[in-house]
Amino acid sequence: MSLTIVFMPQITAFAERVTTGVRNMDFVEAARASGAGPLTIMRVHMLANVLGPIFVYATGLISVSMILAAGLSFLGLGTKPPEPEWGLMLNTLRTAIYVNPWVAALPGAMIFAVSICFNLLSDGMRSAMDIRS
Amino acid sequence: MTEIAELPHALEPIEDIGGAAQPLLQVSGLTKHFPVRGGLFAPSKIVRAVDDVNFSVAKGETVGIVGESGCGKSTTARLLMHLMPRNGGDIIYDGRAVGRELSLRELRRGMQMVFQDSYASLNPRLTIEESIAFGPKVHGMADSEARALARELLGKVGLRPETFANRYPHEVSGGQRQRVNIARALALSPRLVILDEAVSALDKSVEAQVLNLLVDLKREFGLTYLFISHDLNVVRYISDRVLVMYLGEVVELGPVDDVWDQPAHPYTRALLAAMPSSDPDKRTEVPPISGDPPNPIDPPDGCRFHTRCPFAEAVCSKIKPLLSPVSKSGHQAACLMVIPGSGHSAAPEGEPVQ
Ligand SMILES: Nc1ncnc2c1ncn2[C@@H]1O[C@H](COP(=O)(O)OP(=O)(O)OP(=O)(O)O)[C@@H](O)[C@H]1O
Ligand code: SF4
Ligand SMILES: [Mg+2]
Repeated sequence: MSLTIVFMPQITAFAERVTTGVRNMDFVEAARASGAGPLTIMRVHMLANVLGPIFVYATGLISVSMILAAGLSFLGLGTKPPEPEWGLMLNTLRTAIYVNPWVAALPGAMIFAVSICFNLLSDGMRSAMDIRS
Repeated sequence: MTEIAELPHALEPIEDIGGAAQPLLQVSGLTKHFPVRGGLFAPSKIVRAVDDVNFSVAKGETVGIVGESGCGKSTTARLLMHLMPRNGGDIIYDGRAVGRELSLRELRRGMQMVFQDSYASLNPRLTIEESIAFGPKVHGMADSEARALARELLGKVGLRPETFANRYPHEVSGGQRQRVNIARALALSPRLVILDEAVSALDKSVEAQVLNLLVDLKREFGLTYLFISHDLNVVRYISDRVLVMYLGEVVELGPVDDVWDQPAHPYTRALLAAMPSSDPDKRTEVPPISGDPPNPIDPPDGCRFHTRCPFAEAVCSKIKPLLSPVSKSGHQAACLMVIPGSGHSAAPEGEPVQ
């Protein structure tokens, strides 16, 4: 999946941003002030605070990349026929619209439903991670 | 000093080495410069956040540090805690410097800090009990004991352990959170506690409660405080001695009553004159003095205050006044007007005219 490669730098950049943000928080400084070493600080104070936002961000990207992938193969730029892909099916079944419109709409509906699912999952994780709510 | 041991689970405080005559903290020549990048072609500049600061804190004393925003109070606190490297100066804790004589871990047992932002200084993912127990565990206490100590300390700072131990920082009020931060600092049985604007973010009435708590804890545990604040009323209430900082330098220091009643440095006088009323309804955010706000990048030559000082004379931009005695009580000021023969017209042998 070339899209995985495309999105990797984005995820790492995001991870770096979050990590620096957390590292500069006062509670990390307070942990240093209690005499804790870097490994303890990473384990107790940074890991959970950094991983949460990264998971949310990554799940959010899944739905984006799904739609992108479907769009690409619909245009014939993505996976080639023997490999199944919803965008591809959408394109092949396009002609079926005159015979049976429901079949033609099926891959489209699936793309829609699954990407909504990932979006909801990402939202759900965001609120589950946010201890304030 | 051993009174803290009255909590059954407390760590033994680190040993009192020098006895009562030995200052708990001696700071000399403390200096911190931050390089800041200039524009594309502009040369990089230096922020002189803390510049050659000297003072000492006796055992059992409360020393206040006041000054406008940006004068280097927090930087001083961080340097004392060894949270950032310094450009120069010595920090002697109870006669010992960090290094061969005193390990950093020991220093952190002996010196703790309460940060200004009560929310940011607690890990949002740890319960209050876990946050307080973290330090003792780092220093080798078993988990169950550290949690027991955390609950005892919660009681000491006026929070019912049954109610608060398992809450998260966002589930309690600002005043309660600052009490948690105080408990966290006390968990290592420190002898010196640095309070950096510890009550500044609180409402007036909550502030008074937390101040009283600090006074009680100090007596009960035999603590020594370094109390940083821009609120002069609060500093006067709690401090025995006070340091006034301006652009990274100490411009006046002495017993708090002497400095308040007979301020010798024009900057201190301006600060006191602009002091907000202690009546909460009349409190306003008046900037202490007119003129440019302090900019520790490229501070002026000579006396750093001469750009805003109503008594400034030509000599003030040439000669840098050092801290000089104002009276025998240990009251000192860095102003040419108190230095005999300095060349300032108001500087005779006698005391400067008020
Ligand atoms: N990490 C840093 N990098 C560059 N400059 C810094 C840094 N930390 C502080 N400074 C500068 O050093 C000076 C002193 O800052 P400091 O935080 O010590 O002031 P302060 O007296 O605590 O002020 P406040 O009352 O606002 O808390 C300021 O001009 C600030 O901009
Ligand atoms: S030395 Fe001069 S400029 Fe500085 S405070 Fe004294 S009178 Fe003012
Ligand atoms: Mg500060």
